[in-house]
Amino acid sequence: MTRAPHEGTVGPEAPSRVPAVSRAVAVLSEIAVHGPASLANLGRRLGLPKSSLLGICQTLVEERLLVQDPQGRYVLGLAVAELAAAQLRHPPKLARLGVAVPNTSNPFYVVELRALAEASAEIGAEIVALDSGQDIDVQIGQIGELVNMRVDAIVLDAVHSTKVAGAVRLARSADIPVIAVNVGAEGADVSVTTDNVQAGQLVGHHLAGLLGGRGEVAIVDGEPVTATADRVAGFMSALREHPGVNVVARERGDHSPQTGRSIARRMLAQHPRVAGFFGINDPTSTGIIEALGERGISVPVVSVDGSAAAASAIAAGGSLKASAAQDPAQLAHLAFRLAAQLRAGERLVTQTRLLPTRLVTEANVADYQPWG
Amino acid sequence: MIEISESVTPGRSPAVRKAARILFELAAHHEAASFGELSRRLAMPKSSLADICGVLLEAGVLARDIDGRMQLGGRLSEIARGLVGGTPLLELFHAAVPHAEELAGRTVALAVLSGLDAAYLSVRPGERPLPLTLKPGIRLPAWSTGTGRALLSTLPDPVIREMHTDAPPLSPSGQLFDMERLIEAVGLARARGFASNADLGEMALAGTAAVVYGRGGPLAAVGSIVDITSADAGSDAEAVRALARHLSESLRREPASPSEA
Repeated sequence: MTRAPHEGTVGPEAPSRVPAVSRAVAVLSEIAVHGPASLANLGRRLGLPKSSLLGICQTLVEERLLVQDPQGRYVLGLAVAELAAAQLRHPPKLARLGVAVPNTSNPFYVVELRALAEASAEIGAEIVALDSGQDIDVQIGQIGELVNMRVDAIVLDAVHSTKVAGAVRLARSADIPVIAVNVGAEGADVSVTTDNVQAGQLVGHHLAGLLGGRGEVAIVDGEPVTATADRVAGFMSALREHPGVNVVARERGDHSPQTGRSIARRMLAQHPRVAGFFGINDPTSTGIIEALGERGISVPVVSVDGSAAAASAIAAGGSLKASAAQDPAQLAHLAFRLAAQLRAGERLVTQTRLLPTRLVTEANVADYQPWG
Repeated sequence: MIEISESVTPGRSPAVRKAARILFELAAHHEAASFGELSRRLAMPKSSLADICGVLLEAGVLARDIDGRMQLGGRLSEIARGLVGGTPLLELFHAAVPHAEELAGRTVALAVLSGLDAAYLSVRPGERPLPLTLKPGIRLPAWSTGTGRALLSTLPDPVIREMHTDAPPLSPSGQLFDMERLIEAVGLARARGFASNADLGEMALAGTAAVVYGRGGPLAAVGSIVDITSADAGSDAEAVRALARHLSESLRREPASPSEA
């Protein structure tokens, strides 16, 4: 779990650009918590000289934020209620954001988390981020934890798009909006993903072109989430325009280089004439390329993600020929904005937001700024 | 733009005064504002504004909205808890009133006893304008208002008599204070579980109020205020009592605050 606490405690000793204002906040907070106080009491409790506090307290009295009781002690003034009432009229602000990601070994999720943390810090919100180790049952439990913590919204990068539905319902029944990011999640208020159909289409057309419109290809698929389904659907859709290219093998992995490698090994053993691979993401494609290397084979591999590692591999001229780029930071920023809007009670125009992708190839990789 | 110089009383803090102006400016406009807007509206140099806002942001007294503009921050509600025994009653009231369907369209107020006054801390305005604009921060003589009478009803009669022996506060509409009438009204409030000032016709308003209890006893009163021609004592009383019960129960579920402990 990572936390970015924002509690805005300003102690009288904290360095401040405007010490009098910090001390005024400390005075109000002190009286709010511990009740009426004389100047001497305040000085002792806050560790400040009476001479310094007097001007501050008298100014707060003139502004009706403090009043003096018949004993001369300072108590909160009714202007505090006026300000609090005005503050409460604002739409609820996103103060604590829950985030659930499949893992933190994939740089994609690391960049996604970093962007969410940065966006939270900008508005002074706390972030509670949980890594499920690619285990859907763990992730379901973690969403329950976030609900119990009464976070203001949950940004969910789901391990499984449908198995997570019950946990999403639980959150929404507790009036906690759920924003699915990167992959869809059944029942979420809104999903923010890359246009994964477009990504699949781009790499499908590119691979078919590299093969001259003929050959056997294999797909190392991923976990059953909407993003992978969309990519594969887009890939297959593109191949319909290239009838000479046939998919001869398709198997699900867990998005890691390890399963990418082991699945590709099996595929190569069973289908020695495979002329090209589609890896569901860059880590999977890394594993496929390792399996090809073990056999001393060089066939084109296409992928989705556009990570820094993939960009380097494409630039090096190896088997990886293209990757349809996602932008995890942009996905995260949009998810965060939608979380804030939902928290404020705004109605969203659409429940699906697709961010466009671009194909990174040897021809344009020099101009591409990768993430991760 | 004409800059009007502020007269600062010697010994006071100009920075604290500027900070207060920023807060009241944002409170008055009900919406977030950029540095530029605030600088223009307050005729305050951006550098000075940025320094003060920076401190207030760090303290949570200000917050940024999603577009980076300044708005009042949650720390203000935390500080305001000091007005209601260290409890989140203001927040609970704000959240609960929209769900009180029987009070839909009514002006609903939360008040505490402050000396001889009912001090209004939060007001949800009704649909119809009232002869008096009730707003947070206003004080009215407790003896002349529904919420004030509800709060006084938690005190023993001798205490109420002693409080009002010397110069009871004047009613805004010129109603004359009558000790026996007040004692009778608070006795009725104790018996019925709600207080009313409909008998006074104060400012042509009728208030119906019930007490909200914290862990340590009476904390505040919630009241429905209508113009006297719209008063429906029976239904208002039940709705107000239900709201007060809900708030009291909600407070019991909250963790104890340091000032309650």
